[in-house]
Amino acid sequence: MSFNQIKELVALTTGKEGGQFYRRLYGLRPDAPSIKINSLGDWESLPLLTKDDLLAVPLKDRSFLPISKIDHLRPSSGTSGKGALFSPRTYLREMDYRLAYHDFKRPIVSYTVPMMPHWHEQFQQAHGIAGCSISFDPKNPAACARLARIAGADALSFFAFHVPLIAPHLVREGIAEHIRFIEIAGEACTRALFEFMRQTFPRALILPFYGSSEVEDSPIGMPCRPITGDMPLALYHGKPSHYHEIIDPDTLEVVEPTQDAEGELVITAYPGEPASFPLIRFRTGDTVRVVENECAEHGTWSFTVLGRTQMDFIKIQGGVLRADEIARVLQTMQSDVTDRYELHCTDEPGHHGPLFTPLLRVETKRPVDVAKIAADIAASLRVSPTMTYADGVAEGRYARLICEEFHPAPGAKSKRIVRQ
Amino acid sequence: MSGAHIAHTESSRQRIFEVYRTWGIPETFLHGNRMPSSEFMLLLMAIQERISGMNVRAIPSSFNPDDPTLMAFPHTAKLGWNSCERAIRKSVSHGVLSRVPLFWQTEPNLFAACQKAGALVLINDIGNMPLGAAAIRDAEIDAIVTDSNDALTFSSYLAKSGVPLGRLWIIVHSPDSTVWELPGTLRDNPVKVAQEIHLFPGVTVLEQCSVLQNKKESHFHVSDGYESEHDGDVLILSGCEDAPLPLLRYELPMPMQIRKVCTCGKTVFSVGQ
Repeated sequence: MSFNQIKELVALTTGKEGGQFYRRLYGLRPDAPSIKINSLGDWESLPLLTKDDLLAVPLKDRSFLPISKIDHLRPSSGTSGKGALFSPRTYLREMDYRLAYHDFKRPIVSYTVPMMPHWHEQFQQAHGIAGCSISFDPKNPAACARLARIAGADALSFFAFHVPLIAPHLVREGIAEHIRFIEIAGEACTRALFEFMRQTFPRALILPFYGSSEVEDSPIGMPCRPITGDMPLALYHGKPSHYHEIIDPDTLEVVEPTQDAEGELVITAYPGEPASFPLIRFRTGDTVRVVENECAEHGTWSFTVLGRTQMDFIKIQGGVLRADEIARVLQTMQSDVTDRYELHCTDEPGHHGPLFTPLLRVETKRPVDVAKIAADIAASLRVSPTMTYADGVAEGRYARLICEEFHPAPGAKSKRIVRQ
Repeated sequence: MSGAHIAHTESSRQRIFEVYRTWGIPETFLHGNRMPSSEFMLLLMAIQERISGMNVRAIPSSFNPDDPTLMAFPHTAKLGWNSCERAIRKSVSHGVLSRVPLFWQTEPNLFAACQKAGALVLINDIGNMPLGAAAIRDAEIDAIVTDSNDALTFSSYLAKSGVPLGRLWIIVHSPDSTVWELPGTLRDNPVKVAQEIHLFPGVTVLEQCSVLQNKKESHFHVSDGYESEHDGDVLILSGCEDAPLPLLRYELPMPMQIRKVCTCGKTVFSVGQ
C-alpha cells in the first residue's frame, strides 16, 4: 500500500459512519471527525492493534459488514487463558500468484486452513476450471486419501503438520507420486519436513503460505519462490494491499526494514470492499528477518518468519501446546519443580515422517527422577479439550516428552516456548 | 407389490438406463426388479475408476471412515443443500456451526446453502465443544448442523454449560443410525429441529417440512426429485433427476412405515417397523 492508500484507509475506518471499532480504539469523541494522517510520524503515532483489542469487542460490534454479508468465521485459539477469537472473512483476493506454480485442473485436497475447500472451488471456477476439492479431515486421513485417489487429486493445501498425517495413506493409495503441488501453512516448514516431502512426493512443488486467522486479506506475505532447499526455506514479500512494518517488540519502535533487520511484523491490510475487518497496524506476534532490501523479482523487501515473538503457544497436530497449560501442570507438582521452564520444540525423523519432539527444561527444587516427571507432565498436559500430550504420544502423533533439569539465573527473562 | 404411492414411470426408468450406460455399468444391473443396497455397492465398485474423469463431487460411500470397503459416490457438482438452505431461511438464522466430520465432503455445499440463505459458516471440530459453545455465545452462531450422535452430546454440553441452544438444529441421520429419538434437551426446548436422512453423507433422501419439524418426531417426506414406491416396510427410491448416478429402484436399507398424508400434501414416512 502506498502512503496515500493508508491515509485513505485511516480516514475511511475512523469516519462517523460505518464500523466504530477504530474510533473507539483511538478514543475519538462521538462528534470528532475522522483521523487525517499527514506524515509518517502521524501514522506511527497511531496505537498498535493487538489480538487482545480484537477479543475485547464482540463480533457484531467489530465487523465492518452486517453479519449477513460475512462469508465465514475463522477461529483462533485463545492464549494465556483468554477465549477464542472469531475473525470475520469475506473472500480472498490477489491469489492468482498460485497459477504460476500449478494449473489447478485436478481436485485439490484441502483442510479449512489456509483456505476453505469451497474457496478452492471458487478459485478454480474463476479460472474456467470445473471446481472440485476433497476436504481433508485430520481425524480421518485414510478416508480422505481414498477419496483423493478416486477423484484424481494432484494437489494438497493444509497445515505443515498435516503432511506426515496423510502422507502414508497417499503412499498406500499409490498416488503420492501424482501429487504435483503442496501448499503448506502454519508453523515454519522445518528442514526435516521439507526432506520428508521431497522424498515422499518427488514431483511436488512445495509452496509456503504465510497467513494468520486475524488477517482477512490473507496471505500476510506472498511467497517469493517455492521451497527448494535453499535457505531460508520460506521467503515472502508484501502484497499490494498490505503495508508492512517491523517493530522492536520491547520498545515498540519502528525498525528500518533493511537486510538482516529483525523484529515483530506489524501489518496493515485492506483488500478493498467488501471488507469485514480492515486491519490497521496489527501486531502479528511473529518475528521476521529481512532477507533482501529489494526482492529481485517483486521489488519490495523480502522476509522470512523466525517464529512467535513471545511464543505462548505452539500449534501441533490435533491441538495446541500452551504456555499457561504447561505452567498449570507444573504448579500441581510443587514439591518437585517450579513453574519456570523452557520448552524447546523440533521435528525429528519418525517412522511415518517428521515427529514433533519436545524437550522441556524444568527448574527443579530437589533431585528428581526426570523421566518420571516427564511422564507425569505428559499425562496431565492438555493439548485439546479431549486429549492429553500422553494420548497423542500413544496415538503416534508426537515423540515422548523428555525433561531435563534447568537452573535459570535469578530474574533472567527466558523464552518459554522455543521452536527450533 | 402393495402400496405403490408414486408411479415409477417408464420414461424415467429409460433415462436412468441411459445414464448407467454412459458410466459403462454392466447390463446385468439394469434388469433386476429392485436394487438392494448390497447390489448398489457392487454397481458403485464397477464405476470407481471412471469417477475422476467425470465432473462430479466424490463423496464417501459410507458414514464410517474406517470402512475398509469405502468407495466414492459420484454426487452432483452443482453446489447447494436445498433442505438445509430452506431450514436456515425459515428460522432466520445468522450463523451456522458445522459439526459434521470434514470427510463427509459437505463443506462446499453447506457454504453454498448458507450464502444463499444469508448466513455465515464456522467449521467446528466435534472434539472441540468449548469452541462451538464460545461461537454460540460470542459470534452470532445460532444454527447447528450435526449428526444424531453429536446432537445428543453437544446439546447436553451446551445445556450443562448454560449456553443457549440457538434457533435451529439440522440433524443428519444415516440409514444405519441407531439414535432416532431427539435428545430431551432439544425436544423439550422451543428450538427448531430439522431432521434429514442421508443415503451417503450430503445425499438427502428424506427430510422434514415445517409441520414435521414442529412435531419433533422421526417422520419424514421423500426429498424432491425422487420417485418413491412402498412395499411393506421397504421404501424404494428412484431418481433424482440431476444426479450423475441416479438411484434405480433402490431399496432403502432401513424399515420405513407409511403413515398418512401431511397437511403440506406429501406422504409421511416414519422410521421403524
